[in-house]
Amino acid sequence: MIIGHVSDTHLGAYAGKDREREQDYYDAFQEAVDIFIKDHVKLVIHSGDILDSSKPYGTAMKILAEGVKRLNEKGIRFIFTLGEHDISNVPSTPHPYILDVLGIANYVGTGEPLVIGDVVIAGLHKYKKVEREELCRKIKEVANRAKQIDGKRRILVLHQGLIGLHGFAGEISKDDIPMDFDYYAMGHIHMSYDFRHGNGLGSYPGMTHWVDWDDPETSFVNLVDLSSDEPKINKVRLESVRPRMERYVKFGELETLVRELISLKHEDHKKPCLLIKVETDRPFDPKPFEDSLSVSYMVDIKQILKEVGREVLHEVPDMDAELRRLTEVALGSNEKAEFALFELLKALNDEDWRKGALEIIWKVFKEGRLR
Amino acid sequence: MVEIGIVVGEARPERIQFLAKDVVRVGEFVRADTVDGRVLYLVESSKLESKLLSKVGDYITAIEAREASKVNPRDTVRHCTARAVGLIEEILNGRRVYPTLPPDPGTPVFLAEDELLKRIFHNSSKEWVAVGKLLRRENVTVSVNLNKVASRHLAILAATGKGKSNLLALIAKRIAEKNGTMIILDYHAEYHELKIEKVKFVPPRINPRYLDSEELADMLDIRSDATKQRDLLRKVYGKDVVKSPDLWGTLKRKLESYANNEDEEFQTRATASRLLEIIDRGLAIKGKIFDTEAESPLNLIEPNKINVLDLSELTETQAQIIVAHYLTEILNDRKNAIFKRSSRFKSPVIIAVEEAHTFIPQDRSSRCSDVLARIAREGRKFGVSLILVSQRPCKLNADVVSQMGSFAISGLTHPKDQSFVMDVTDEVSTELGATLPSLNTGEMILAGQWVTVPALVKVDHVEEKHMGKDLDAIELWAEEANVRRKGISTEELIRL
Repeated sequence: MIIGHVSDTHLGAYAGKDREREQDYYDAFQEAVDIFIKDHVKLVIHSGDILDSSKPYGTAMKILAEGVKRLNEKGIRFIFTLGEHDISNVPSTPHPYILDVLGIANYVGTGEPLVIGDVVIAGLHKYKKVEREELCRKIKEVANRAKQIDGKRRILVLHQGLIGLHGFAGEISKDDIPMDFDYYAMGHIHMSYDFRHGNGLGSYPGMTHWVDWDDPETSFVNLVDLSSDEPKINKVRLESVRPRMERYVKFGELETLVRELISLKHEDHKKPCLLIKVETDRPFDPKPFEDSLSVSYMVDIKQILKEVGREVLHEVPDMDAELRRLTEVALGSNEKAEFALFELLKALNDEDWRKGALEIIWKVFKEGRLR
Repeated sequence: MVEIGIVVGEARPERIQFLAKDVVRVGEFVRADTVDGRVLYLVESSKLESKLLSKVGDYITAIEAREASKVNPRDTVRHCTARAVGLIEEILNGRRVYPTLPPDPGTPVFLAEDELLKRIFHNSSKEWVAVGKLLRRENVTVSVNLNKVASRHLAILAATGKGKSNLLALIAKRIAEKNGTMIILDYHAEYHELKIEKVKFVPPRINPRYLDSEELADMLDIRSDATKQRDLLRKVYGKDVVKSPDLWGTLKRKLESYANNEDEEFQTRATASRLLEIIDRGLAIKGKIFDTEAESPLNLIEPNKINVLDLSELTETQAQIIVAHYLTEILNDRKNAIFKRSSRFKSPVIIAVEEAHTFIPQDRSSRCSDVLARIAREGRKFGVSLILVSQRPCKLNADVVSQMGSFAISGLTHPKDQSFVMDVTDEVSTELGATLPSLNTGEMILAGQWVTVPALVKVDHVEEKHMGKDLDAIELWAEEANVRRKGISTEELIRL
């Protein structure tokens, strides 16, 4: 029997910010669903962080519902837990739970074991680091309950990081997890990583599409074969993931690099994301470079000011200075601009603006200013 | 009128002994008649003795003596000594006149009535402010004379935890109520949470132009034994630097010219480079303290306010230098005011020096010893007064402390501290001094010119003062642990 395991789909990332990038996460999820259908898995486990935001835009929910519906139509049960991205910070029903309400998916984050065919699936939602004690207690409880059910393959679904695996992302140690399961379907860590635990196997499939530049470039879903004594994991790479490139140059060499990059031919189905880190003495306007590259790339130029050694992504524009500059251009002199902005505009904002403004203009005229 | 005892033994005008009928506590006020008139006495010691029990040498005899003592009321003797505080008639007129004769032996001793004590200790005229209650009479309010604090100086000498800073905060509060000007030199950032009205927190600022090269070296944390660095700094820190609009730039350029000059000796060049580093580091860490534009520290200090000068981030020497400059300016300003020249402070200024032993140590002189000694000596003429606060009086410069007109004393356990206190103020006798260690927090002996008569006082607690008391670690731990637990759990966030 083969089951599908996916995690950290972050549907709805980039929503409202970049439509192309937003679509990447939908594409990856749909591709995962296609793979699961094509390979005739019995059920699909999602280990959390289904959505990118606990208050998702409708599109993310639509894509999720469509995918789950397609699986459901093929008789493939969608079983999920919740990650921290799915759980809002005010007490409320997490959006993915609606799938459970509709009866097309099963939420297993409560610890209640779910039996589907000859598999027992038990899981917990994400617990924070400070709740470690509670989490450890719960896992043991869940394991005990799952053990009661005889003659089945057992799967534990968690959205937690293992301590030591990835920087600060860990909440529990492997020793906190009882060895009563055949497969540990993990989520939360963005890279693909497998581990042995007792007689079973654990696995993080990793996220379905990278979000940060630190995330792995390639993504996978797991096809887990539970028919033999020891589970076998087959990792299937997701093809829809957007390729990416990273370059580091000094400002002087930027133009050459840009020319070189434009001449490159891409066979990829998607425009690669391109991050250029430019070491420079003073901030420059990246727009011309971005424009010429934008035909073949999704460009992001990061400026690293050499002197202060910090990265400047976008300079915060000084609105007041810009307004003054534009006023000066429009009125033709600095004095006129100052008069307009600091005296006249103020008067025009008053309730009795007609009188005030006229008075000011008359005064200026009499004084012979601004001739 | 309750007779509580009878004058016995050798009586002197200033001190009497009496045998008491009942318990008489130290700090209690009693009165007895003399030829000069009715005299108020302060009970300084109270002994309870059994003649039978004091001579026994073995346990069995002790048991017998105890039984014998129980049935023989003559055996228990309550022996008290009391010091003359003054003739009551005169005290009520605000004068301290001592009797010239002791009461006759056998003169009855009476407890001073509450009404009498109230008239003595509480004064409603405007220079008097309430600070607490008589320790032995909780319904008698004790007032102190702020005018005396503002002219004759005050020393608050008490062990840690006996309520020094509470008393200072109380005085600050009372001074604020009277629109007074006060500066608290806050060496341990104890007063940064003082929540009284009219308090102003002053960050320490100093204009390097007013410092000589040695002081500048100290402010920059150049080691005192780094003579080469100090010599070079003295050489380059000339008038041209001091007068330059860009003081630090000019100073650094001069040092750079040494550091980069091939003709200079290697040692000099290295010293110059090191100095440059020290200056850069000093400016990075202490940059806020140096203000090359500041005209005078006086501008930071506001009249009619309680100014808290936070010295907690400075080293001892740096704090001394800053204090020296501030106090010199203030004293000069007050002189100007008295001589009708232009001045910032038109009215007296009270300067409270926390951890005074840091600023006027006994055994050596500090950077600000001179100015503090000067204020102690001549501040009265110019309306600048000191409140010295310290838990180690014997480490204070005795000459300065002897200028203090008023005292608040509590809980000094070290014999050296006790004898120091008795040396500098004649109002705390050996007998009273012996009770010093047994005083509880907030219980103080107030003596000197700011009180009508010396007294044991329970000082009012100042709610506005939060610091100074020990941290409640148990409570804080519990709080933090609870905060963690109290945050909404993930389980509560998921509503199914």
